[in-house]
Amino acid sequence: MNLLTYEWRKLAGMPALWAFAALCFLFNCVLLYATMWTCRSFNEGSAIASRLGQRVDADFIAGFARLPPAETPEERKEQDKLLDFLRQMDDPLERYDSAAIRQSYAGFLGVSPLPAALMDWKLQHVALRAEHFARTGAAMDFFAGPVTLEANTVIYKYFFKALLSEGVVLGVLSMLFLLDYERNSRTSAAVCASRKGRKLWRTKVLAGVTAALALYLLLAVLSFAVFFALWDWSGVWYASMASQFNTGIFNQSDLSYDGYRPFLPWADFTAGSYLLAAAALGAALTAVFTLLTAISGLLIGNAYASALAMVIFVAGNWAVWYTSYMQGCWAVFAPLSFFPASLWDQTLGWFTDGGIMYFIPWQETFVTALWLVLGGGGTALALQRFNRKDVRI
Amino acid sequence: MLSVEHVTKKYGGFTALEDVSLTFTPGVYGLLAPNGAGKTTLIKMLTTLIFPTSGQILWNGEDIHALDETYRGLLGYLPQEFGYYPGYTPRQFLRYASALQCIPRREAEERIDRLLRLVGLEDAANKKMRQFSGGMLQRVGIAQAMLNEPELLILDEPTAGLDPRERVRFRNLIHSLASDRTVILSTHIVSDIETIAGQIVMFRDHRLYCCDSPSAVCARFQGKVFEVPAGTAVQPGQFLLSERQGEHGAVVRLLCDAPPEGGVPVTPGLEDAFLAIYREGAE
Repeated sequence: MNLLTYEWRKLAGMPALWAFAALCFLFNCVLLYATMWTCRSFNEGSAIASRLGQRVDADFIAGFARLPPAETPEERKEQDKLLDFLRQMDDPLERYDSAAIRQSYAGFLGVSPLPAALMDWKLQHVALRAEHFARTGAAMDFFAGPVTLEANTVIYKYFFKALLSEGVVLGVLSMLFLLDYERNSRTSAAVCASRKGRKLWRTKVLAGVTAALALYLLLAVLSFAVFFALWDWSGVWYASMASQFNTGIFNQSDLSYDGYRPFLPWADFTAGSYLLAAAALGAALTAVFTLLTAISGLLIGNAYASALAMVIFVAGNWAVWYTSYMQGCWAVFAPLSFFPASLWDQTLGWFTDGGIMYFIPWQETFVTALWLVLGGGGTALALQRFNRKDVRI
Repeated sequence: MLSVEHVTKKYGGFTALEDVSLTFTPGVYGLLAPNGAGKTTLIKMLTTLIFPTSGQILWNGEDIHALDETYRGLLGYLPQEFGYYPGYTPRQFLRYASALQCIPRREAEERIDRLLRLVGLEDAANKKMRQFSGGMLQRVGIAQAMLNEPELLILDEPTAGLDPRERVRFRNLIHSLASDRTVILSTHIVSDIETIAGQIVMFRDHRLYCCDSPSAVCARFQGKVFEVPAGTAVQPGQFLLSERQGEHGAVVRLLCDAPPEGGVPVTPGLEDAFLAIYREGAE
């Protein structure tokens, strides 16, 4: 057995970790149960898309009109309302007014020159994406119909955020547990005087990060297994995320900036590829937080103090970021939106323009990559410092 | 050869060891000093756990920190407080220690079997260590220290928790190991090293006091140790070393320059020397 396996084994021997992971899974099941109200409508919409295809065109409308009427009068009324909407449906992205939106944001951020300049630069790219989607007609996809926005909000704002939070907490706990394991077992002296010596802590960091990713993946697989058992995605897997049903458009009477913000991803994401990309970004963010924990654990040398430092860093980062947003203090808000805590808060807007929350295209990807590099580099430096420090026994 | 050259270790304003210079060649060295005198600090520096504030430690002329894992690969170490994983058996723990020492698996298995026999744990090899007595744990510690067949074996309070039979067995083991390697044994139990250490290293006031053979250390007090019947009042200039049962009843051992009244001169042992060196107010 190599040393990495030994470190994993130490982690696997911690019952509290498994108990916490089980609680997380249970919580996710409760969360899914609590959001079941979107499930029936979503499954009906998905079934329609399975039969008629995703693109709302003449065939789709004709097919929809031939669907058997719903059972209750209320449902029939909704069905008729949707049919009317489909008959009048056009591509809102063809009317996308980039100039008006840029002007609106400029008015918002005017007093902060750099954030305003960045935002304007981003909005120019957003306009290009809107043009692209207008050409492809992506906004004409049915997705799961009127429930699409609510269902995606449930998935990405609540369910995904819970999953990410759980992955991060499990990652942080795993890393702290492994870094402090020898001190708790009183084996630091024998381990550090062995041939491998302090270099074992490199293995511990690697074990901590891989374990965090594995636990995140395990939770994601189990939770999504339950999710897919309840929500039928067979008809929506290839629906474009830029579908107008993925906005509040069905329930809005006008398409003004205030009432309608299109969902414009930076790539041609379908529902399936977007879900996979979000899951991958969640994994990367879990790795980021785990690496940051490694830095604090190696520098501070005490699991409890390191955990406290992490809480202060993350909660402090989020609190200042959120307060500056509420206060409209964009000069503070803009740089803080490049910190990982803000990404955790913005799971619903990943891979999109993100409105006022993001200042550059692909910001969540850039920030995650940046912090992976910073976390990795910081961990390397912390390990180097650890190698030159007296061992605390 | 291990050389300690003008090594000082400070923790903030506290000096744990000051300007210590020593040379260790193959043989058994006993670090003998009361608790807090700096033995463990020196051992931690010799095992690369802590860094000297000034001075350097050389193995065959090269700095041990520069040698890094090459040095630690020839080092065997039993810490003062031997930690273990309670859920592991001795065999599993020794396998883990072999992985830390980068010993190939097959070779490690052979050595583990041999060492478990050597320390008398072959019957308990597959029992969880959480069920072990202090003595059994210490024996696992000794086995892990010898896994890599070290050229330099450093044992910090190795006999703590061992019963008299195990202690004798341990001494014999050390004796047999010392022929071709350097063994540094730290203890404050005089009898542990009296018979097996070729050299005694003593610290006083965080400085090196002496590095000499046991007989030379004892010779410093030749003609100064006397036995008087118990109850004899201790006079100024006399220092009470110990009290023991003699052939004709209880006697006390005194350290003094001039023979006390009724005092019988005795040959000082290492324990007498230890007590004399570390007596209160000794200069």
